[in-house]
Amino acid sequence: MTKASPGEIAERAQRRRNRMLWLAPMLFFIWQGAFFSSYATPHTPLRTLEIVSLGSHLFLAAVLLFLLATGGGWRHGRVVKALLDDETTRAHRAQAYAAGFWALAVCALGLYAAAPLVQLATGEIAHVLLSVAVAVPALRFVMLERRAARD
Amino acid sequence: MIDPILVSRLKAVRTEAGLTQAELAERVGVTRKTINTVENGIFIPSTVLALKLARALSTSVEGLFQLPD
Repeated sequence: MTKASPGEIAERAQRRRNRMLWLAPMLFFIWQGAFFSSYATPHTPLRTLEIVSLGSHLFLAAVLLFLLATGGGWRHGRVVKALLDDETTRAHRAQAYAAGFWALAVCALGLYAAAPLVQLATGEIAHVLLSVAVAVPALRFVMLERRAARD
Repeated sequence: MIDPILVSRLKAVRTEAGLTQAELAERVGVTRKTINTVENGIFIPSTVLALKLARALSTSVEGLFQLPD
């Protein structure tokens, strides 16, 4: 069996990264429904289910942000890692961050406008903002990466 | 359709040199995706990458990229 070249390994890792950055934001959106139907009026003290749900949400957010920021490929060598963070990847990341910034700004404006009409707890606002801050750049990044890979 | 801001001859020169996108990518230390986007005019390469591409294909940067008339 021939050994895969760094380029081939990087391509496979790219596809895995794209799948992860595509599926996880979907989970985030599904989570929104569960969150607002249960945690929006939390029990005091929090039940185990709520702690696990909130903890998982935070953990997934942190992992996704780290993946987006570093480009992934942590278990590969320096060469593959460099390929996973090449020029187009960095440009796509910059565009994804810009999309995230504008999505956050629009979301914050919406929340600000809704504040006199709807009572929102700090936890709910943080949840919405974090979800937008993670999901929008991740989806934008995947979109750009997939477009780039098309012939 | 918007006019391209950079005319790329990369695909033609690469094909003439008998290289695949993956082979050229490996020579200049980027992924195939980057070569693909440069060839399709989606991505404008940095000066360093343009110089590396030119060197890998034994040509000049002007031989690969030109401003539209």
